[in-house]
Amino acid sequence: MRAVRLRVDGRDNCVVVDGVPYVFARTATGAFVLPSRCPHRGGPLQLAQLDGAGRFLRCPWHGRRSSLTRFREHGVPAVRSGNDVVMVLDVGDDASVQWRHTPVAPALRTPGASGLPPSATDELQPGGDASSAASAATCSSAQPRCSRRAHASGTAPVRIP
Amino acid sequence: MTSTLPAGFAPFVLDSGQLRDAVLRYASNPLYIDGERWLNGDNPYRRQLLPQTLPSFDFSVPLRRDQVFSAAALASHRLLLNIYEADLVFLPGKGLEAKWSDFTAFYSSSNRAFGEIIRPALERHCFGFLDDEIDVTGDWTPASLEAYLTDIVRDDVGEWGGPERAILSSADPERAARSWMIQFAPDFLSEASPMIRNVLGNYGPAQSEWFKIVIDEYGYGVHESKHSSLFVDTLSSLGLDPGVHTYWQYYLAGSLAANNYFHYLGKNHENFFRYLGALYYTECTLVQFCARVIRMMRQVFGETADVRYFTEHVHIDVHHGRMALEKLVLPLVERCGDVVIPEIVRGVSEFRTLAGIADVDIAEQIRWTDGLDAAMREHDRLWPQIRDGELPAPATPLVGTSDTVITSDQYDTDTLLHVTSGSMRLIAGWEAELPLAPGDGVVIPAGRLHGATISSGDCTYETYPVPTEP
Ligand code: FES
Ligand SMILES: [Fe+2]
Ligand SMILES: [Fe+2]
Repeated sequence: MRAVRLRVDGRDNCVVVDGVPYVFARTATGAFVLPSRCPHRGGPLQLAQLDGAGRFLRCPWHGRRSSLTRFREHGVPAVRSGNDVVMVLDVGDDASVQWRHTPVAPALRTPGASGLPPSATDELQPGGDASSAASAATCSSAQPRCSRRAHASGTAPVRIP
Repeated sequence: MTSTLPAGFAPFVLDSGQLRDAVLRYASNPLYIDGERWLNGDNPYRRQLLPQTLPSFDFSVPLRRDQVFSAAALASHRLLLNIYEADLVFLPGKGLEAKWSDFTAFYSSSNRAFGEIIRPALERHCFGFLDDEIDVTGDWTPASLEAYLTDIVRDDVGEWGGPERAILSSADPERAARSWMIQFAPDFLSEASPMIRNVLGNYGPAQSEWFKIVIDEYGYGVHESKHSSLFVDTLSSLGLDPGVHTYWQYYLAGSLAANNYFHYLGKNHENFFRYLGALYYTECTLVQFCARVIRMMRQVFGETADVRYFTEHVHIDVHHGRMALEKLVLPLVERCGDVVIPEIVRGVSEFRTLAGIADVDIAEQIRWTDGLDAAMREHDRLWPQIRDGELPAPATPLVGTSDTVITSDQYDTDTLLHVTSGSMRLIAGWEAELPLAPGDGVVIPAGRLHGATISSGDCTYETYPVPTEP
């Protein structure tokens, strides 16, 4: 078992562990970690559309459907706090781990009421919201692990309006 | 409140009007009226709530993440702390002779009942944003939980945090460090009281394990080694009054939130498993945290500061962190099943979020108290434009009467305060005071706590929201 970090948005929003890419996604029915390589031929599930009244993802390549309930209830255990995600994978300490940025389909980026950043910020480097920018400033790009206080909140400093 | 009750069992919810009335009824207790004193000293029952401001808030709606330093956040956390602390026993050091009516008013059934009625809504108002701030997802097992818990406390590598950096770079590090210690008074002077809410009842061997932690917190019945006693000594060594809530008016919304969170979890046992997560996290991280505080205190005060509170935690919380994991969290997951794991994980994350907010709050407050001269200069720059009508800004004329205090509060927008007659002492923080004469003023940043005393003669002043620069 190994805890691995990634961000919801901006730089490092995708982590590749032993060759499998993961992103964090959120739809109206809830949040989940998405292993984003389609099991059929490796299509980019992070670019998938919703299907079946929002209950499934439809792979953009050949249309394979994946159940969101499965990801949420039987998928990778994870916690998101603000823009930061910690997930636990069943891999050893010797697993290879690399971070990168990948665009994610707007359908998988439904904000919570207080807000994941809007999808428009996805193309910004680092994330366009204040918290990702502040996080990025305190983290090495190679590994989004920050000192507790820099990130204590798991969310970066609150901006005073 | 309406007199018609719904048939059957339904959630208890007050609409916003009912809630407003109920909050006012609670806050109209004479204990909570302000205006008389700046420090509460040896009276643990007097806690200023600014009841006159309360009708302007809608407590029925949760605060957003960007409102954690709002006036509503401060007001609702002050209310909540009072409600929670009606469960705790405080006695003044110098007897109850002159305070008997305050004592009975604070612990009266009316104070308790009126508080209980508004508590659930205030808790949702204060902590509801955490539902959006945090997601817990996926299929958690004891093994993944343990991997997560082990990892999450590894971050703490002993680097200075925001408050320590603000203190060490402050124009007045001693003042800043005292201000920070004051923020811990609500928590450390009644240390482990929220925790004890969890050791009542009967839930098997883990309960007795938790009780062992309580025994440590209470110094094994030796009063001098009780953790709260150690903190009394810390405050005294810094020349601060160790009275419970002497410094009520200096408490920041962020500090109150971090403190109230444990009461919130401990008071509502549906959050029992969140408390486990928060307990584990705080016990583990307190080790590094206290080591940093000791280094900071030595740097700022030399040997004069009594840091035994912190050295005790550097030692004992190594054990408490381990005990929380091995003797509480994992056995209770085994007993109750994986269904409780997401709650434990959520408790860790929620407390981390609130601790981060508290850190930002005190660091910002230190910068504000350090920058009072600049705040005056900003007033001097803007005032001619306001006076000449170049900046259209509605004024609120206010009068402070002689020999009163203006209870600390904060604005939701940057606000220019301008004294038109008489004089006041603006209080921006511990020993951070600014005399203001007619024509003087300051710009008070949004979210920054401030109050004032008016010593002789009435003082009239006006406040203007500062227009944002184009
Ligand atoms: S690669 Fe996804 S359906 Fe074929
Ligand atoms: Fe303690
Ligand atoms: Fe402890």
